[in-house]
Parts: sequence; structure tokens; C-alpha cells
Amino acid sequence: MASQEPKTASDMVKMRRSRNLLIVGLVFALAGLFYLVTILKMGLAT
Amino acid sequence: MSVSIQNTFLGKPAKIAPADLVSNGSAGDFFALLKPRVMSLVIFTSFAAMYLADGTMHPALFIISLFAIAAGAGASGAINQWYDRDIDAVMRRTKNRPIPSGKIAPAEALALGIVISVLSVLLLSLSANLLAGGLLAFTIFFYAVIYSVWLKRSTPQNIVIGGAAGAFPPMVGWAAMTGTISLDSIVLFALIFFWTPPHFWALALVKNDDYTRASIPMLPVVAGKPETRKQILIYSVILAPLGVVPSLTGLVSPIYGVIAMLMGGVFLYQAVRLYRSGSDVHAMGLFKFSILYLFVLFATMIADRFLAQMIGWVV
Repeated sequence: MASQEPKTASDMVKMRRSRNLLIVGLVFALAGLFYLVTILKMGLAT
Repeated sequence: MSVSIQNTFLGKPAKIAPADLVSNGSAGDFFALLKPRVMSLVIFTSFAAMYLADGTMHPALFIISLFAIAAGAGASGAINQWYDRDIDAVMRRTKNRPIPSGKIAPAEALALGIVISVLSVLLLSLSANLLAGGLLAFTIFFYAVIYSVWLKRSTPQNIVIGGAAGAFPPMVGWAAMTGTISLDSIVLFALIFFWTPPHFWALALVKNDDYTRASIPMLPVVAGKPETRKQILIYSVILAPLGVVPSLTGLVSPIYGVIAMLMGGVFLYQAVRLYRSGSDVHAMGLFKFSILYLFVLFATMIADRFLAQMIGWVV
């Protein structure tokens, strides 16, 4: 995936917004992963 | 980036972060920051160790643990690229990396490296055990600080000592499965540890000008090419028999031992040929073969155990 240079200020804001949304998605995915690990470990312990 | 714009935060105008703090790098650029090729090697060797270790783990936890180890390796790669951005910019081999090419801001790379480091250690500690998490934390510290910050720019032994960072992942994987550090995991560590110097020095012989330009004291730069070829030969003499050891400790069958012996023989032949000729073609040949060597050895160990488990094939 090649990086793109924004041509205008609004392009830059759009790019950063989409990247921020990606980061939010990754944070949620990670939270889900930690949750899954906890559930699995609790399940194995009982 | 000289774009001057304003955005708003809680209704107040605020200047957007400057480009040295926030870049416009794509997801692919950030992924490249994690050194995916190194990560793939880490995943492969860790998987082999986890598969060979006598332990049980829920399949999902197995995959998550492997993911955590790979993420830790990637994080240390990001910190390494952040620290090495000055020398990466002057080396042909590395000038297109995300930071020197301006795709990612240094501060972002460092932040990404630190955040993923912490998360990967926490995740592995939770999915496997504290020993594995602690070993992963030490591995990240070893690569990012001991190797990148200290050894790489100060001694021609940088690759020898720093090679431990690449050798730790199988030990981390083993610890994740068993909660211990056994002789077998130390053998896997030693295998990669002694493989690293001839692998990198063969490349350094070919890329000598690059390292000289960046003032990195690689062995060929400091001690010269003949001494480097001699050191490659010495390490190859140690590596060839060491590759056979997993079959002698009973970790895998003698069939693996035979394959390791053959591969070690070819490795040694290539090292002798390079020692005698001093040719860059032979150096590149050894470099490429060293990658195949490590892949074949670990793949054979996995296949050996798989066959033994599946069809009860014990030699």
C-alpha cells in the first residue's frame, strides 16, 4: 500500500481522520483479543 | 509539510500537529516499520519451538501467543528504525524505509514501537505465562537498546552479541508452552545465535560500501574482508555440527540429523569456497543459502514431529 501525499488541507484532514478511525478499530480489536484471552483462561481454569 | 490549516477541538481553533509529529503514512507504511520479513522469521522459529515443546495450550491461545511474539518482534523493529533513521538515510539498502523516506514521522514510529512492545508483553503474559512475557520483554529490550543503541555503532562484534535478540524467539515460544527453559530450547537458541554472524557478515561483505558510508563498524569495515571470511568460516565450523544436536538430544528423530548434516556440509562448503575466493558472488551465495539452511532445519523439525505424531513413525 503506497502512501499518498495530501494535495490540500482538507485532503490531509480526511487522511488523518481515516487513519484515526483505523486506530480506533485496532484498539477495539485489541480489547476484544484481551477479553477473549481472559475468557479462555478462565474457561480452562474451571 | 507546510500546509497551514486549523481544526477545532471543543469549539476552539487548534493548529494541526506538524509533520514531524504526525505524518501521512499509510497502513502499509506502518506495517513496513515492523520489519515484516524479520517478523515472518520470528513467527516461523517460535511456531517450531511451540510445536516441538511438550506442553498443551488451547489452539486460540496458541495463535494469540504466537501473534504476541510476532508483535513484540515488530515493535522492537520499529524502535530500531526510529533510532537508526540517520544511518538508514545514507545507506542504499535502507534509504527507502518509512522514516528516512519521509512517509512516517520519527515520533510516530517511536510511539508505535513502545505501545506495541507493552501490549505484546502484556498479551503474552496473559495468554501464556509470566516467564514467556518476561523473556519477550527482555528480547525487545535487547534488540532495541543493547543492540540498536549500544552495540551496533560501537563494536564489530555487534552482530555476534546482538544476534541473541534474533535467537530468543524460539526460547520465548518454548517458555510459552511449557513455562520453563529447557536444554532443547537452549539448543534452538544456540542454533540461531551461531547462524547469525555468517549470515549477516556474508551480506556485509557485499554491502561493505554501504556500511562504510554510514560509519557502522561492521567486521569487514573494521577488520577487513579476509578477516571477515575467516570469521565466517569459524562460525560455520561451529554451526554445522550444532545443527545436528536436536536429533542427539532426542527432540527430533535421526532423520532430521541426516538432513541437518547434509545442509551443514553444504553450508561449510560455501564458507570454505568464500574463504578461498573472496568473491562477492560467493558471499551472496552463502547469504542466500544461509536463509534456506535455517528454513530447512526448522521445517524439518516440524515435519519430523508432525509425522511422528500422525503415523507413529519412530525411527
